[in-house]
Amino acid sequence: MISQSAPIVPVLSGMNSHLRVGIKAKELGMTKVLVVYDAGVLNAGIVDPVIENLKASRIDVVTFGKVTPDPPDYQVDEGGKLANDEKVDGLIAIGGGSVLDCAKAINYLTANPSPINQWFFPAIPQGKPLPMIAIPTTAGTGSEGSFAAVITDSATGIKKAILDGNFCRYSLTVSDPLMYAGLPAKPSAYCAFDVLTHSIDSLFSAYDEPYSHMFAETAVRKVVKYLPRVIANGNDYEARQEIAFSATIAGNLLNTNMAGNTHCMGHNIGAVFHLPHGLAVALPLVSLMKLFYSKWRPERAKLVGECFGVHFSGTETVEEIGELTGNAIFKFYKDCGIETFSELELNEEDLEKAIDKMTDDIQTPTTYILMSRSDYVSVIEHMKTLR
Amino acid sequence: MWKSVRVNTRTCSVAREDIKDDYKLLGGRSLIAQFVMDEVDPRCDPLGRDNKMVFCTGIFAGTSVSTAHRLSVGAKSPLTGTIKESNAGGTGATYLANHGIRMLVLEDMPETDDWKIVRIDANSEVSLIPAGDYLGLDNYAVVDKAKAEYGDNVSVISIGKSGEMQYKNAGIAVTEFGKGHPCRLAARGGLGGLMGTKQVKAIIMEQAAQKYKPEIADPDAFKEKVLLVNKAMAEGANTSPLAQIGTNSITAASGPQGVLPVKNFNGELSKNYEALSPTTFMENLASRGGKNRVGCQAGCLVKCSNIYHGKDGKYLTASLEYETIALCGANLDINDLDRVAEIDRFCDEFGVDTIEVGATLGVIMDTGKIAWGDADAAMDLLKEMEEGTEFGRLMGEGTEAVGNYLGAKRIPTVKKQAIAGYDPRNCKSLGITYAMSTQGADHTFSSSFGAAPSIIDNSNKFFQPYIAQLLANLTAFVDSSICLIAVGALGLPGIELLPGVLAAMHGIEFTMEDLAAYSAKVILTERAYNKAAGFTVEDDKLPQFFSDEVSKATGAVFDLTEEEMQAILKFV
Repeated sequence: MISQSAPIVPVLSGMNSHLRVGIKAKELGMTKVLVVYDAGVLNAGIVDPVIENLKASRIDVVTFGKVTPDPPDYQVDEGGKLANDEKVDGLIAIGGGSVLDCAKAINYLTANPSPINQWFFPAIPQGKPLPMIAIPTTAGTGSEGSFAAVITDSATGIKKAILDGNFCRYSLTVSDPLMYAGLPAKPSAYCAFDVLTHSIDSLFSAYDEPYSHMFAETAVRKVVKYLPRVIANGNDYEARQEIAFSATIAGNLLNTNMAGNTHCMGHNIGAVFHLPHGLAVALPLVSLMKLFYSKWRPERAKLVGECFGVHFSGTETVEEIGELTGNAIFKFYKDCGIETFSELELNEEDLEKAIDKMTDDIQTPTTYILMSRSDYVSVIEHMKTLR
Repeated sequence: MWKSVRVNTRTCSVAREDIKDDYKLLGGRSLIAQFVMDEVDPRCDPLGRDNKMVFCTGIFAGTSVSTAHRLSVGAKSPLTGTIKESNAGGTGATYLANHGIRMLVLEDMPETDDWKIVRIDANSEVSLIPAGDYLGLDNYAVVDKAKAEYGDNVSVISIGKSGEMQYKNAGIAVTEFGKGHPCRLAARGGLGGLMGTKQVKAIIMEQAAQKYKPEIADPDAFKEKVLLVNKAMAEGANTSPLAQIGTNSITAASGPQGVLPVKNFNGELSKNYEALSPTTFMENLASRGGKNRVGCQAGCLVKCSNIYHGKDGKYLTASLEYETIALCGANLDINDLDRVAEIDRFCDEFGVDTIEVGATLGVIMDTGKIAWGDADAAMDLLKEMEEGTEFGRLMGEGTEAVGNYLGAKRIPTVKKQAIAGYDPRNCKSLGITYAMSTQGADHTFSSSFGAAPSIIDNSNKFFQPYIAQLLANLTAFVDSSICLIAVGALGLPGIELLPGVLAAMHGIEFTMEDLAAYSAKVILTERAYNKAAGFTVEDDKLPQFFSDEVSKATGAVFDLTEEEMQAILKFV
């Protein structure tokens, strides 16, 4: 097949790299920036040193610290108005996926009229975007590397996407393990499973682009190796850096191969039951691997198994490959303290509502072999058996 | 034949003889390396009778190669205990060359209290005369008195009271071409204090009635090669900020990159480098009657020096340079060019090294003894140094002595010499240089800030050892021949014109490879001397705080290993 890679967002990584934001912002031509963040990172003490560093490089700072999880469109509109009133020429986003996505959407509004909800995909924004720097604090959604953002349409309460290779593209990601170190073990594990599902899904995606393949395999191996260290010691900076990098490259692969069925299922389970995104997408992974992924591409399933430490003799059947790989993932899952589906004891009636939406998710069009409702039901039934 | 003049300061004898055959191709730093190795016991007490100091001219002295007349002064350093070559511009080297003198040695030590002046008259006669009323004068007063006695065209190489007091931060002043201000200092390493132990107050020279012309083996080729060099230098000077503004042009880059030192090298970005910037500097010159584009030696085509007037429009100081502005300005949070100029003037008068003084004041401020940015308190301390109070005398011992006495945690020295105006975390090639320099922390050993291509991140160790080595390997030859700032104007391609000049001068083969070998030999000789003096690789280290403390300007720490640094001086 013929595929094309997407531009890769440059990464400045290393301990204390956040102390270079000012110099880098200046290099990108910024003189006055909107710094976008949320209450969480502000309280974690991460925002002030970055602002101090920007000001030391003679960059004027305007702040927008109001971002909430799953940012609603009116929040983006407010940020966009502030950016325009203050005539900023750059955006700095500090935080997790919500903040990084909100800043991308604000970027639209610096060159395109508000409100943002007229720009949901497939609308194409016009004009020239502002340069943006991402300082992610979770590893993570990979939003710093991807060219899409998720904004909640407040009129309907539905999460919608904006997608653009210019306005949603960060000019630079600053990946400093100190920025990630404050996240406790459980949320760190959930976030790392988002990285795993992006990566594993992409190996079973219809779009099979080689950079993305490389990123996916690297990301899986790094999460398997370093997540247990992060869970054991949140200040293991080397491990934090490795997982951060995995998240970023897994974000990059979203621009081509994209995520798949874990997200079709996880988006909707998560929405109905208000589960953290990382947990919601992790829940179906093992069952999807055993029932579907391993059949679609057994060699890839073997590769994933190897990443989780499985030693294949080379004589296994497709079912056996699925079992071995799925079991290895499940063991890792439990070792990381992630709750199983059965432990969550989710209400059946609401679960049906979630299943209804799985065939019509943002990620549905990009999945490899279209799954029917009953296919998803079979996955859910399998999930219930995992203990 | 060039002459070597040897003055015995105990017997007051003056001997004049032809330069040794071995020294024919040597000058400036290369001559000093060989002379000190040959004649100065590496284990001697640098303030004792066995230390010798040599004043010498470069290999192109007496010719029309532009900037050929740097004066190099060499000895075992009282400050560092290493070999020391300290150089200055001005008229000193031109006059020595015109008198046919390649090297002038002061050796031994007087047994009486008598102080002398070395006088060289219009007939090139060298004699020792009593210092008389010159003693106790600061450098400007020495020069005024010499002008009154010998005319305005006198050239003076002198020490201020600091040298008389044998301070280890004392330098040697040389009169600048043109106005004759004693603002060009061979400042580093305490050679002024050494001259004080020899009880020689000054070398005062009248213009030679008969100017010595060195023998040139191939005059036609020589003329052609010199023309090429001078042409390249003049062209380079047209666009080089070092020439068009002066050395303070460096602030425009060092400030925003976190290379300009702030508050005893605390690693922050200066909050007010604009006040010290080339823009402010040029505005001050223009509005008060000062000027730049001043050549410190006759025939200089680069003209990087300046004359700086105060707010009252009157002359304040001359040759206000980047290092002074960095160490006595930004490093002390004194973000005021006028106050820095005041300190510069004091240091030239009293005859002390502005880099060492600035670093000392920075350590003092860091301990809280006086406040950051308090220029008045800084001047009061400088006056204590001048008066010789107990603390003042300690300041004369240098930054490390003061730091140790005050219990300072952050002392920015290597081999007891203060580092220069570049934070080593954010320009790592200079960090390597400070550690590996044979002279103690000496940025001119390999002055690499701005030398790497602009895509190189100098706060990352990548590329830094290479550029440190490259510049070190060129600089030893440059220090033996022309001015380092001229190289800034010439550029690295321009250096390739220099071997041809030496080849034509002596009728020998001399290529860029020979230049590299020449330089390497100088450095290896210096290393060997230091080793014999007791120095080991343990002394080739930066203060630990540069590795432990993250620079807030860039997030960098100094992280070069011993192996990475030692490799730069492996020439064979």
